[in-house]
Amino acid sequence: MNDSFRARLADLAAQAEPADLYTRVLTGSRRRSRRRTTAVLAAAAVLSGGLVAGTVLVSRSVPPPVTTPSASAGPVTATQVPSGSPPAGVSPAPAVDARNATFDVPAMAQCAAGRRTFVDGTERDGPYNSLTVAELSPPIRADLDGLPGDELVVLVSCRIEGIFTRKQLLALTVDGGALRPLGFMLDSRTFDFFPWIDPAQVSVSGDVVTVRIEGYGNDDGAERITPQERGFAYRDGAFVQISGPTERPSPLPR
Amino acid sequence: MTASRAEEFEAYVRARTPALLRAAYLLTGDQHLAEDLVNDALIRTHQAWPRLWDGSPEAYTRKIMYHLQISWWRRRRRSPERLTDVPPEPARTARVDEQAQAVTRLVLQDALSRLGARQRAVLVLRYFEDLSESEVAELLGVTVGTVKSQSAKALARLRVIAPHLLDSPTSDRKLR
Repeated sequence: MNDSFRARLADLAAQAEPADLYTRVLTGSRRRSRRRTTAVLAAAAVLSGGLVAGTVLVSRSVPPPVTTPSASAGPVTATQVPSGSPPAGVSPAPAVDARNATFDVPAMAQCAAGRRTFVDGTERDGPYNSLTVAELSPPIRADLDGLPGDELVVLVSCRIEGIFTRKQLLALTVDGGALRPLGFMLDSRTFDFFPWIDPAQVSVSGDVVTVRIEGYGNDDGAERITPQERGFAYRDGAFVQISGPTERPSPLPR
Repeated sequence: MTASRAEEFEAYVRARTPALLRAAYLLTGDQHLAEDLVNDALIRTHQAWPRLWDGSPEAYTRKIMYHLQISWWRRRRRSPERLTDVPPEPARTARVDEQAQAVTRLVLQDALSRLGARQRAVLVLRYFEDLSESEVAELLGVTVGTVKSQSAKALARLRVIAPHLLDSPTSDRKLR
């Protein structure tokens, strides 16, 4: 039977007719290269425009990330503090740009652990399984481990073979101008079903980071679910889930 | 790309396309889709050729091809044309064994088309490409456990769709 099934597969595969794809491949490759070049040029044009606009905005005021100062265990305040006038008792957080920084990233999916350098959010000279990092919207900076120094929460994406993407939330301790990984937030019960994480749907209250999940990827595609919120906090040296459902969500009917 | 590397790529494409097409045909169940799949995988291989040519380009191409197939399937989210339960009337002049073989092909093609993309990929990799579970896991970027579960689900589904393709329940154990 084993051999018979293999033989049937081989017999079916033999129905494929030979084709010479060389010319078609070269044409497609050149077209793809042209598209990439165009996209890079367009992105550069957008970025240069953004830089000009950004410079104008920065000269007026700098909206800080949502912060929970180390000394406070209360809820997060999202007040935008004008530059140069921090509230009494709260020291201004040093500016850290995780999208343009070098820091250690723990192993994630097919992306190996290691020290990574990000330029504009993308790993410089990354391998084919590549990493990107993005700040949340609005950025989240809070004291998550109870020790001096705040943590910055970023969204890390591991792109596998240019096809699949796995996303995790990474807490980075801001140590002066440097970043040290505190740990990934989603535990295996949540990460293993590849939840969709919207950077705009992550919030922090005290030391609890809450993630809203509206869908997930599975072996055969993407599934939408009834949205659910899961809360994670740093306890005894690791992030654990402390609120929300823990089981794998059921997909909504298609 | 230098001239010699370009020649190597041309030789690689011409030598390996037939084998890639056979696997792609099993994955897509259609000659034109198979050609498109191999074409796209080879385009990506061409773009990566300067860093691949002295390594294992075919492993790279196959990896891309299997991932692309799953990606395409997700985008399309529709099955190709389904066959009816009744196989087409065979020509009277055909020999009986050829007729039976043709029917088996159609049934197998239909059964494969009803599987999820990853399940199909796992079956083709395991039983057509003869890769081990760990090799399949590495190629698809999943765990060995996922390969085992997908393989078991695929075989169970095949047993429902076309029981005669899998002769007996014990055969699954052999297939694992």
